[in-house]
This record gives sequence, structure tokens and C-alpha cells, in this order.
Amino acid sequence: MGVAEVRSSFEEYVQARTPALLRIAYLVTGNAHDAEDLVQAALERAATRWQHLTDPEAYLRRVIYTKSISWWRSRRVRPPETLTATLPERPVEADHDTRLAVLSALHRLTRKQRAVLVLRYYEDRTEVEAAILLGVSTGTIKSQTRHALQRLRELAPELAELMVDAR
Amino acid sequence: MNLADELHALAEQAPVTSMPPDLFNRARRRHRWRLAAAVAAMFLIVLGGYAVTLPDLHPLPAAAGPAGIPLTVADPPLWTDEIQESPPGPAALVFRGPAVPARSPFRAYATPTAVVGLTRDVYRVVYPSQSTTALSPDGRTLLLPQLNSPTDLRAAHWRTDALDLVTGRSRRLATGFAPIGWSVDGKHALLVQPNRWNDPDASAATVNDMIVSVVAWPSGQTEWSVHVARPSAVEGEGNYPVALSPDGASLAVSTSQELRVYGRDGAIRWKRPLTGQDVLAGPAAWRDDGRIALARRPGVANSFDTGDATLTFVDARTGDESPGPHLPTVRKVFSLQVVAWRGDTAYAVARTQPAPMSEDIHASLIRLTPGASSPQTMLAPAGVEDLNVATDYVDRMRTAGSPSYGLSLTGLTAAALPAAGPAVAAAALVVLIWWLRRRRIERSAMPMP
Repeated sequence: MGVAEVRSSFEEYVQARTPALLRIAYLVTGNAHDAEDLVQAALERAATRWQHLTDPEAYLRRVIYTKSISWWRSRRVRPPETLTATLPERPVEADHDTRLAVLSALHRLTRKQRAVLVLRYYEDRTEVEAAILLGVSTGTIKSQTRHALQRLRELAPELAELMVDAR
Repeated sequence: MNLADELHALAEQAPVTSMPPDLFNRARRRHRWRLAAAVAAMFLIVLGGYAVTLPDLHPLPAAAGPAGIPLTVADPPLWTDEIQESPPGPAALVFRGPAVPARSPFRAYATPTAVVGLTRDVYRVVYPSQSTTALSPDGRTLLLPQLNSPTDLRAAHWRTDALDLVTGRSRRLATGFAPIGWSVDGKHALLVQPNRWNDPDASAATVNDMIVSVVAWPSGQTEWSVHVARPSAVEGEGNYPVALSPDGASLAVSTSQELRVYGRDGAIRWKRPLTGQDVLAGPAAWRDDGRIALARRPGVANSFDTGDATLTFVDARTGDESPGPHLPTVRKVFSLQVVAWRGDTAYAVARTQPAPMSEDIHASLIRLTPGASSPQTMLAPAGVEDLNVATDYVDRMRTAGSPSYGLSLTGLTAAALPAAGPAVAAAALVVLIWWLRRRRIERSAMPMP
């Protein structure tokens, strides 16, 4: 395959799949700006080896998740959090907008916990698939999921009903 | 609604944006730049490693001073320039031994030899095929034994090159011969062709025979030569105790427990038996006053054993004992070679070893003053097994300055390899980790439902 063909294939893919990738990135980063950066960085990485990728979609998801939890991004993206004896005050809007409450609570999780939740409940991946994608053991996925849900309950008790089926 | 529904609803708020149109080209371009930058960084790291390892890559040449033998000698580093690449000018001394590092396995058949400048501490190295180099009395010319074949020792493969230390140019002085030394006045070079080279399977009676050739300098013409029979030589193949008479017309040789004097016609003028390990006392053994000096080491059983050496003298016309200056005894040496006389004061290279047949050999330049209780050490560099000095200047010692080694690219590479090794290993480890990580990522990126 010549370079022109590779480029054409890549651009077709970008055109078709960027919105879906942005949705994942938005969930794991928590804001639109970082989501765009993350998807663009993943696509740039994929572009350098596009002709060798047998499943670009899986590769890109993988890059997005692993990049989102890598330390150099987490330092920049994750806001500092100070632990106190009392729970943080819930956003006023949360009483009126569950979605914002979810977003706010997600934002307070660790990046790995967030990635696990997105994989399990947004992408509906099994524990094994999530483990393969993140390059960790299924035990880690289980514990991270458990901790993430517990943390969500603590941060936003009003979301408890959303997590009735989430185990 | 449950958590999954909420996440899907939340995901719908993701930005709707398009990627830059030149993303593909830009990504690849950036990738290439990063690769180039990584290579450049690695190069700089290795280069930095060199700079740290090698403290002084471009030393300024030491200023020229009065001619003389330096009081101390430095160990030339592996990257020291070669004479042919950067001639040092006239040399004060030439030395070999562990202080001069071998540069690479390709030099396995050569003897690393260092040269130190006469008027400044410029160090250079040269790699002759064996150790019998000979520095001219004025320090300008170095005779080098060179062998064209690393395995075939026949005379046809040997030659003696005269290397001009001022110009760096080499001149073939003779084919089939290796150098032994110079006459005291520097007007003749003495070369040797061992019979062993031509007839390695000869009988013990003749295998150690040799032809000594007296070559006029600078013309390079062979003036005369003699066949020296050595039926019971004990000196060993590489040991040729010979001394030319001051007029260049006779040659003294000690071998097979005899001291002989040959004439230009090759005939023996006279000979006398030698006792024990008595041997001709070096290339300057034949004094201007008509006496020949012998190094006597009473009680020493083998030539390479150490023992106390005293100089005694015989009449050069008759071979009879002849009283000479009373010079101090040199303790525990296996070789004592007088290289120059100043009146009755002898300058000699003494070689010693702590144990018989030990490879730990030390050479020093000493002065033997009549009436002194012991020799005076002029120069005793560590790690030096043998040395030649420019004998015209042997009585002029000078303070050593800052050494200048020049820079040999071959030597630099050889010196840098050990330093580069860890850097390359670290780089390889980083690349391996990166590759394994990438492989794991791409393998795990399996199609999912």
C-alpha cells in the first residue's frame, strides 16, 4: 500500500470515527478540551503506523485509555484534590441535573477508576476485555470497579439508584 | 436510568469537532523528527560520555623549552596520536610496557611504544612489530622493526623502517633485517638478521647464528656485515649484545660465553671467554679510550635472573683485562646497558624484575658516577619495561611540563568504546522496553464485539 493510499484510508477513518472516539475521550477526561487533545494525540500516534494496524479502532481505544491514565497526562489534567473529614459539598446544580452530578463525580475519581467505569458501563466491556485493553489483570479491573462505584456513592449519594445494578 | 444510560447521555455532550486536515502528514513528520532527535540525543549522550571519560581531548601543545630528558613521564592515554599522523619532533625517549596501552585486538602483533618529545612533553605512539626499536642519539630518527606477515617470520617479510620524528615520514632502511641500535655517534645503524628467520629448523649449533649489518647513516648504505656464530647462545633470539667501535671499523659481540671483536672483513680479531653471565655492557660499551665495558653479575645462574651488576673493562685491542673507572654496583638487575659516557660517568638503562621470569619488569635510566656508593636514578617511570633515550642529551634532564597527547580518531574510538558500552546498553534497554510495551499494546488491541 502506497503512502497516498494509507493517508486516504486514515482520513476516511478519522472522518467516520472521530465522534465516537471523542465521546470515549470526553468520559475519561471529563472535559471537552482534553478530550480533543487526547483523540488527536491518539490519531497522530496511529498515523505513524497506520499501514501496520489490523484493527485501528481497538488500537485507538487502547491508546486513549492508556494515555488517559498515564502519569504525565494525569498530572496536567486531574485537578488537585484535598481529602477532608467531611464529604465535599455537592454542586447545587446536581440537585437538578443528574448528568452534571455524574460528570462531577466522575471527575473526582482517579483516572484509572474512570477508565474502568467507562469501559464497563459505557462500552459494556467484560472484565476480561477491559483487563486486556488496559493491560492489567482482571482482578485489578474488579477491584477498581468496586472502588470506583463505592467512591461514586460517597461523592454523590443521590446517584445511588443509578448503581443498583452496577456491581 | 442506570449508570450506563447516564454515561451514554453524558457522552452525547462530547465536543463535535473535526481533526486538522493535515493530521496524517503532520503526525508522520513529527514522528520522523522525534526519531532524528532521539538519535541526535543518543549521539550527544555518548559524546558527553566521551568528554567526561576523556578529560583533555584537545590539550594545547606544551611550549618548547630546552632540549633534555624529562624528569618524569606520563602514561599516554589510549587516544594518543600516532607519530605518522602527528609527528612530535625530536624525541627525548622512547618507552614501552604496560604504561602504553594496546589500542585494539588488531594490534595484537604489535608492541605499543610511546615517544616523548625532546623539547616539550609531546607524547605520540607507534606500533612496531616487535620491541627492538632504536632511537638515534640526536632523537630525530626511530628505527622500527616491521613484519609484513603476522605469522610468517621469514626474513623476506621483515624490514627496518627509519621513521623521521620531525616529518612523520618513514623510509625503508633495509629488508630482511631488524634494528638493534645505533653507534654512539649516530653515524651507523646496527641491524640484525637471525638465522632462525631463514632456517627455523636448523640445528642448535647454527639456529641462533645471526648476521649483523653496519649501515651508514643517513645514506642507508650497508658498509659491512658479519656472520656471528652462536653455537651455544643463551641470550635468546631477541637479545643481541653488540657494540660498534668508535671508528665504526670493528664490532664487539658477546655470545656463547665469549667476547669477540669482528673486523670489517667479518673475521674475528680476537676473542676471550666470559665467565658466568658476563655480557657486553650495552651499545656504548666500546669507549673512546679503547676499553670495552662488560657487565659482570657474579653468582647469577641464568641470564634473566636478577643479580648485582658491576662494570669491568677489557682492552679493545687485545681483550685483556684493563682497569677502568670504579663505578658503583647496580643492585638486583637482569640487564644493564650502558647507553652513553660523559668522561668516566656512565649512563645506563637498568632493568629489573621482582621475581625470576616475572613479567613485572621495570626499566630505569641511571647514572654511574666514579667513586659513588650507589647509582643515581635519573628516570624510573612506572609501567615501563624498556626505554631508549636520545643519548646526545642523556646528561641534560629537564622539568616535565604539561603533557600533550594529540588526538587520534582511531585511539579515540578505542578509548570511547568502553564508555559507549553502558550508554548503548542503556539505550538498547530503553528501546527494548518501548518495543515490548508497544507490542503488548498492539497485541492487546484485538477486535472486540
